[in-house]
Amino acid sequence: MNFQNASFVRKIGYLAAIAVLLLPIAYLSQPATISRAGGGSNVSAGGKLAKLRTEYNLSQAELGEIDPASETMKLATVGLRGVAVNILWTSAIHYQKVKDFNNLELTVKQIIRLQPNFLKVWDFQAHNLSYNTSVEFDNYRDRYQWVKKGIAFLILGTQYNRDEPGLLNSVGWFVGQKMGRSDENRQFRRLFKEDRDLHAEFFKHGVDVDRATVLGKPDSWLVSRLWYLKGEDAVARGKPLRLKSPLLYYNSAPMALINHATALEQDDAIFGQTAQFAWERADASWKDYGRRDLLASAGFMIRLNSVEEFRQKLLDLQTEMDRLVPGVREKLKQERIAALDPRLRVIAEKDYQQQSPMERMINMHEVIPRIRVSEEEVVAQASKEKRTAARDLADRIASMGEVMQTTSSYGGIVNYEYWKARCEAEQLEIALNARELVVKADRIRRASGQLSDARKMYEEAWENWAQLFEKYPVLLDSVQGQELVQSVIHYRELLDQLGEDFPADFRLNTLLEQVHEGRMLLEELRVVQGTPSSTTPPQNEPPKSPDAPESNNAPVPKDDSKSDKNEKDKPGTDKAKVESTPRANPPQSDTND
Amino acid sequence: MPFEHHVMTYWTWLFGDPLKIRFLDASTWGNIGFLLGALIILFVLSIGAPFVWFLLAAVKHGPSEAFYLVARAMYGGVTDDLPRYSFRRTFAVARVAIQEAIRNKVLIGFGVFLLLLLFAGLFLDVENVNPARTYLSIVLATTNYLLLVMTLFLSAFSLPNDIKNRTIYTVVTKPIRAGEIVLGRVAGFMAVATLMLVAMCAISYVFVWRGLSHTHTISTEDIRDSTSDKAPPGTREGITSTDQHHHHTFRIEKNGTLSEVDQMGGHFHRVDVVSAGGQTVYRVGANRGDLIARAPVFGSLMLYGRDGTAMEQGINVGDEWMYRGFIEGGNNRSAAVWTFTNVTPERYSDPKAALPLEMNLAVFRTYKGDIERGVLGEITIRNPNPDAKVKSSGPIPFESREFRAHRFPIPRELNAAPAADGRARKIDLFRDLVHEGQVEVSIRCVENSQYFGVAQADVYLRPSDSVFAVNFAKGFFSIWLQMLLVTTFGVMFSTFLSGPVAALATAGTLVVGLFGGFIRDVTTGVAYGGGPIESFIRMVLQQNVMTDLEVAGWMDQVIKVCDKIMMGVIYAMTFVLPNYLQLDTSQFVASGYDIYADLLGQHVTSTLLYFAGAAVVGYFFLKTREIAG
Repeated sequence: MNFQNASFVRKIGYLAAIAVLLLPIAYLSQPATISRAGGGSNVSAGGKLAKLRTEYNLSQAELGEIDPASETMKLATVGLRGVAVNILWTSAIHYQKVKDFNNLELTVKQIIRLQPNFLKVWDFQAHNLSYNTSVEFDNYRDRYQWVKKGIAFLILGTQYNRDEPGLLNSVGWFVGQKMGRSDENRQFRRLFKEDRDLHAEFFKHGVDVDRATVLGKPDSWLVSRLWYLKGEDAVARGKPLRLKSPLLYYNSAPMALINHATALEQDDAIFGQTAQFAWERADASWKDYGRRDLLASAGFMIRLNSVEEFRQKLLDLQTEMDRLVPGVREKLKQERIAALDPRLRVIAEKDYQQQSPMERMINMHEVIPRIRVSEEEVVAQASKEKRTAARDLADRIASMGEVMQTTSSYGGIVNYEYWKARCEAEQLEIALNARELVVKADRIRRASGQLSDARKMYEEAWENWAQLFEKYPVLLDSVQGQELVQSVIHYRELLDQLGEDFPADFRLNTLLEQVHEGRMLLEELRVVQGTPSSTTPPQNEPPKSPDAPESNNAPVPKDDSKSDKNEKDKPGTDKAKVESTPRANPPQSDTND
Repeated sequence: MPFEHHVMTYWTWLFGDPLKIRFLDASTWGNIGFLLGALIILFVLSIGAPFVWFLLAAVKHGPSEAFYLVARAMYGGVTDDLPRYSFRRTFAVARVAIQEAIRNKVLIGFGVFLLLLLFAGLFLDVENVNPARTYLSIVLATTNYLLLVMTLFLSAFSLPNDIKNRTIYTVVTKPIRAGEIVLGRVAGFMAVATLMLVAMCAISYVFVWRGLSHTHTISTEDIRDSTSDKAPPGTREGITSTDQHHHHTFRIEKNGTLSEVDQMGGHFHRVDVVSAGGQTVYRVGANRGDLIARAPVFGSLMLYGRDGTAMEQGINVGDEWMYRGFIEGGNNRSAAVWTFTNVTPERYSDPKAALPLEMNLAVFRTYKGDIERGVLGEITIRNPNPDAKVKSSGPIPFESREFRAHRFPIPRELNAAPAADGRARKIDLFRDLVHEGQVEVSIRCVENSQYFGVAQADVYLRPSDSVFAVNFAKGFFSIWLQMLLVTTFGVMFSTFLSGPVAALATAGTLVVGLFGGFIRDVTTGVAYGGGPIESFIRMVLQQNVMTDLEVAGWMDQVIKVCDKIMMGVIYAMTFVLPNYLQLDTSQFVASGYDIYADLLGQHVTSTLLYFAGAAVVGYFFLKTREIAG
């Protein structure tokens, strides 16, 4: 073989090797195609990678819009996307530090072009713009603009990640909570109503604010609900909730209606039929939420409104067990009571209604755990022929107990019973009047108007409130209750101005004793009026009856980024704590792309 | 735009403040000034470089031969090459360099630039609140990086290729000197790069101007009665059409007048109200105020604490960024006082704005207060002469406006400070408060427990603006200076290194010049990280910088010692090599500030010094290189 031939053979060899190497590449990477030749359409699923992308919905077209700039940038970094992203994140942190917010925004937009499907980036940077950056500005109009930028950023995220429930829920959260709960909520809500640009932007992305108006103007809470519903629709269409807890996810929309009704009265001073209608809607929505099947972390479905039903079923089963194995439970219980320390025995033998608060406390923590009789103990005492049936019944009781405890615990997380009672109470004429009267009286007092008129209104309102608290005692322990105490303090100042003493038999003394400011007011009055100090301890949470199942030890659903959300919606939670919490440790690795 | 470095005059920068220097206190060494610092570095290099050269030559030729070689080269350079330097031969080399550059298709860089501008719309954030800044930043950054990369490759590969291809023989066999080859090459490459820069500058200007140029329309349907509580009855307000992703709001007074629409996106429009066919028509003019070049006159700043004593720095309210110091509000003596010089009636002739003050104060609230308005402060114009009859004007109240240039012109006629008898009287700014051209502007916050944040460049006088186009050109001139340095270093390295290595070395100077601050932070422990070896190990093993290096104890020590030596060298280089970041003036242009003459002077001086140094080193390397061998 001469030299030229050797060279030729080598080249042929190279070509053959290339062809061989191309085969596995083609098998792996062949793109999916649709051919419409000859009028028909032949669909090719493509290579292995294309099939996997389709299977897991990972192709860019499946995830969201294809942005040529984003794709170009990703390709232009030629495998150094991680490095580029790191540099951009460092720059963003630097710009934020030196308060160059314009460049921060530009850098953030570059980052998301490189990491368009990394959901945490959207969440983190939107929070950065709407919360951390907005508060850097002194003027609330500037702050509002930055809140909007964060919202616009999230909406952009919903384009890159189509129908992503988490992002849609976040948009709702920003529109509702940031506009409605920040220090500048009144100003923000006012600006939101007139913000035609933002309304048009929402409309462009499928949220028609005209469906969420009050007196002809869009309301931020109602608009936030539309975004939440959009997210719920996405889940209904099969999009995964990822790590979000269904309990909290589906809680957002009804809570938006409750917040809307509250803001209507408190911020906008709108009462009467409008407010009543808002509370009726909130009530209906909250009850729908209670009827919704929610997947608990234990793996079974629960309904928040079923606690009472489960409790009754549990009692029925226990009664059935007592019928099957008669007298055993009571006998064991009496034996244990007899074995108790005399101090505890006295409490155990007392009727629940006759126990003092301190005794109730001891009863719950020391007596009940000692005298409780488990189902296993009852089963062990059953006769041989009844033991199988008893064991079966015990299993059913345990299972029912777990479902009831989980449901009750989940209800506690979102304060289901409180909000249910609140929605029912607030739509009553008496509640609407009470709120209106307090607001009007406060206004007259501030404007130094007719103080006697203000006094009359206050007193009429206290009467209404007292009746309401009697009917719904759960309302006593709430933020609304605390805010009402502020008005009571104003009332006391008004009486001072009129030269009159604060009435000793004030109708809302129970409320005052429940709230810190109220107790301080009472103490002050006692010192001024020379009456001895009360020894009645605050009754923040009356102990449950001995028969009531313990519901506070149930497992809590794990890890939800918005677990703080519902803290805020709980009565008694300080809303300022939720404001502007900087997030540390930005996510740096792209797991979704 | 924050001026992170103290704004100083050319002469202060050049000569520094030697009286403040204490030999043992490193924090005072910054006062030595550029000239003295440069002389020290040059002195060390002029001793150290020949010594290193001698050592290297001694290895090859022995000490006596090496000494003779170094001495002859240096002596010959001064007595022979320098006096006989020929500009004609330099131009000839430059002409060849130009031809070579064009032959090497450097104009492709220009094509890339045009391509980038064509597709810029895809990457530009056109909805940004300050589009002018975005447009200007993008054109300046694109031009800068493209041309720096181009000049880097052009200058680093040319001479080594000539040597490799032996085409250099056609030059060195002629009576031409090494210095002429070095300078000729630099001049040739710079001529090509300059032509490209000028073309890019012109195209960029048109691109920016066209990109921002727009107008709006006003429809009578969009005008309605004002709902604002503060607006007088009969006032109407409206909204313009949305163009370029924004719109403006405007107000029509009761008498029908409307002069201009509000500032939006960093610009405004003039509006003409005309009657046509019995109907009022609003004609909106072109955008104005976005392409500007403020020419601020800065003063010196002193801060005073609550008891009136001078403070080195203001109060830190918890900001990580220490650019601004804060002064406390309320009934105390806290104040920020700026002293302005050359304040004469001739320079500031407008009686309504005798002191055309512009402020950019930060605000820090310790309680919410009234958020419907800014925090209240007051300005007092003070006479710097302690014996003056009139010590100060009366307080002039103002409301803070954070994160925006707040124009606050001080008229010539002012109210005097309240007299003991309570009578109000007028004073003249120049007659009563200006002393030998100097005047003090004192700013204090009047609300208890609220704070104003101030920096030297936050309050300035703005008598007039510079021409934007000229400022734009100055921005490109800064790029030219950077190109000159890259080209000179590229040619210098190419006199003794092969093409790729020379390109790598030049890129190294560029990296050190661009990230010098970060490198110093890493070296001194301010920023997390490690030396080159540690970083490499961490990258390979994917170890976080926050954790200890997971290697054996002795190995850790060895790595740290080696890294320390290497980082020490790199640290020293950050002071010796040019700081490209400081030469970058794009933020001035983009933020609408004039690149003031003092700054440009500083940049030109430092660039010329580096240019001269690198050219001399290149000359010696080429002179002693045995090309024929």
